[in-house]
Amino acid sequence: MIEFKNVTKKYGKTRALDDITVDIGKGKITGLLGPNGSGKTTMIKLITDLNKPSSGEVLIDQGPITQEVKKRIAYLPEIDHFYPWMKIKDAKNFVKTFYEDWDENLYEELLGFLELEENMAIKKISKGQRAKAKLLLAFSRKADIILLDEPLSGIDIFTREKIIETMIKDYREGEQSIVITTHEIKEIEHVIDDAIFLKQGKIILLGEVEQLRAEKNLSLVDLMKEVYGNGKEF
Amino acid sequence: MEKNSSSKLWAMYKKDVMNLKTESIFMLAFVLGINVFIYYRVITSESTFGASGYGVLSAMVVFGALFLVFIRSFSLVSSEWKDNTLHMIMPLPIGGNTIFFSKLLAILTQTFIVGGISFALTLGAVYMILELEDIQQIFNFLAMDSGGLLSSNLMEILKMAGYGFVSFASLIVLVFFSSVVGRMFTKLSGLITFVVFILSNVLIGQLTGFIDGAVNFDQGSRVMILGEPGGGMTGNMTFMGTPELIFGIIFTVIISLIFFFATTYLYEQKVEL
Repeated sequence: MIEFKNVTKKYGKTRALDDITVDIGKGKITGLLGPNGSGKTTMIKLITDLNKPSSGEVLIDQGPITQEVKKRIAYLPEIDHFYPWMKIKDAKNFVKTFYEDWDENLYEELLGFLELEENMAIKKISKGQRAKAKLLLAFSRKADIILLDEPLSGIDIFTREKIIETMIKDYREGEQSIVITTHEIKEIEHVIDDAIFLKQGKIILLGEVEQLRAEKNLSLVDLMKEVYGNGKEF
Repeated sequence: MEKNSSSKLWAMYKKDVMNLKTESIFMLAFVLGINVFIYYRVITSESTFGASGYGVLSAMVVFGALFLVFIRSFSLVSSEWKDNTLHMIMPLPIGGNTIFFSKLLAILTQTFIVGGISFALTLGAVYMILELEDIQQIFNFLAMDSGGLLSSNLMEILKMAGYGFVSFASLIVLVFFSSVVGRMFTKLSGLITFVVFILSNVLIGQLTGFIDGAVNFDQGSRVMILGEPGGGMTGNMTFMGTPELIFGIIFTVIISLIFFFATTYLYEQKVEL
């Protein structure tokens, strides 16, 4: 569904991605895993067209990322991207204008579930609430592809659980694809179907989580320790 | 349900107007403060400039407000990077045309509101300051040669305002173009923006001169003549002949469109986060 074909992305002299070829399957939750600077966020940015590949191509359903394709993508960035004057309802009214898959009932339901209020001024709420607000906007749509860039970063354990619950709450297995980047593997280990391990812009391990665990006889956390701790490549 | 492009443009426009709201209020407060200061200085001192002096002073205040709007237009683009809000805009299923057209509309709205209110405030202050005979002088100037529906001086002022508006919009497009070019570089982005803005203005100036020469327009007629030597506001005003004005507006619009589409192309193809 989401294909990276020999993709290299350079920032100046630094290679953020180095000749990556991978196909992220449809209808699954895929974890992009790896330490800082491994290229996880760059992969997400290339899928959302925030970045362009230096060479190679990124395709969705065998085609380039056009405006039509963008209509099917929901993106949650790691950083706060709201306008300073926005309340939650302003952000909602803005975002829903652009997407046919916006579901007002789902929004109302999630608003309560995430314990948010429409009149909350986004710049005045806590980091955890802002993370929830971003999640609210991404998951109030019935998007085919949901891209979550470090949704758990710097968030307390209770909010993390809430975020993961939101992710799987209305997940349409087989139809919807979720790609998540994170360091917090322990929290998402039970949620993700496929894992892609990145190191210095290269894929060093990928596969179905169940299969990886069975083959290596390790949990995903231990597998990650082994991959990155020993510097061993699989 | 298919979202239509006008509702997307409207949403973008509302967002850009909201981004400019606080600055607009500060600009108006600034203009009000200056007017109050001028009024206070005049009523507490013996000095008096006469109608022409106040006319110039009031025009300076209005142009000052418009200059602030122009300066702010640079940051309307750059703040999208600085505040990370481009992460909200770039993934949207809309093209650069909608993004920059909404910004242009928002800045022109701000120009009308800030410029209009500044003009009204300044007019009010001038009205309170001037003597009755000075006000009469201004009315006489505006009503001069009033053969048709509009007097010749008023007609020239309207021509000047129309041409000024188109030129201002064109200048804003150049701001967008230079800002986007500047943002394609990670280092010295501000300096590159400034240099590109100056160079594109110089280029357009050269082109205008060349085309003016080719179609043999009289360069001298672009000079505004205000009154006769020592005669106060009693003379005829000349801004541009109608054929020149139409040509000037069409030329400015064409140049602006070229720069506008170049901006949206660069934004869609080259800009990265």
